[in-house]
Amino acid sequence: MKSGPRLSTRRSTGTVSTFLTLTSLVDLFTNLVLFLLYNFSAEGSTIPSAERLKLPQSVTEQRAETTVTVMVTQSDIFLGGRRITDTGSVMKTDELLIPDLKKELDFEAKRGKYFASLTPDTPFEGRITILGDKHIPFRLLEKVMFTCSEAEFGQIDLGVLHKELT
Amino acid sequence: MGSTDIDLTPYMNLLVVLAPFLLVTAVFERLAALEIYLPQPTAAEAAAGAKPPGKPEDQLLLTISIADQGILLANGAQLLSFVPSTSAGYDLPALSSALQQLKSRYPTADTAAILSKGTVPYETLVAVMDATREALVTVDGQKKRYILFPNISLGEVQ
Repeated sequence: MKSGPRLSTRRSTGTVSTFLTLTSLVDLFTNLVLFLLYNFSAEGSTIPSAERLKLPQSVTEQRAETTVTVMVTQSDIFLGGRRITDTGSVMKTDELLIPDLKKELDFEAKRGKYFASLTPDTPFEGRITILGDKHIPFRLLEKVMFTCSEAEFGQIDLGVLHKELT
Repeated sequence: MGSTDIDLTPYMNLLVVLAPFLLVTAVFERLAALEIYLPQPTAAEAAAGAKPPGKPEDQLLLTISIADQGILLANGAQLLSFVPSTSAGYDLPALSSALQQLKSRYPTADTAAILSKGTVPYETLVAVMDATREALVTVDGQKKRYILFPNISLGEVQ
């Protein structure tokens, strides 16, 4: 019978309020969510993360379009994710044209023109994006650019990572 | 204890779910494009033919050559200035101010050709292209983008 009165006194006097102060946490989360929502891109990441591909940074404001992409790493050349040739053999010759790449690009051009003929609103512009590693020499880039323009891809964009102008 | 507290639990649930989701899908790096200007042979010939013969000095055929010791600026065959490299590499701020002076002398010019040796790294080329395209100038304490020569064509020099 002793416990009864003690319990009752605790219930009456010791109302310990156990509220967590969530305000700051809510502030933090709200800011984080708003920041992330602001930066949210529905397109998702289009940046390829190849092993030896580090894109250079540029202050350009122009957005990259989804076009045919040639990826030039330090060791290989890719067209739309397929490996075409290695850069070593390309650099060995003085010839500007890369025959393997030309063959594949010709096929891409033919395909692009076929699709363009089906949709008259979007003519074949010959746009191509070159994603080059920042350490590749200009000579290699020049060869790729020359091959692209030979294969009727004349509108060449260089893919870069955006950085702020300081 | 007045019970005027808002029940934050549902809101917290929402935030706790949303924050990791957005964090995972966040794209912090943006892919951008640098367009290369293709000098159309017919347009160039037309421009050469239509050029008023009496005033060739009004035309600017800007060539920027990336050499070993620095960057050469030339108008056609006439050498304009030389921007020597510093110990840290090419002096891009000096190049930018030289180009800004050129732009103020030829306000209508917007094309430039960048000639580089075959061994110049792509990163250096993009940095020089950036300096050629635009500059950040401070006007009345405000920083503003100043478009210099946005149409850039590339070429190789032996």
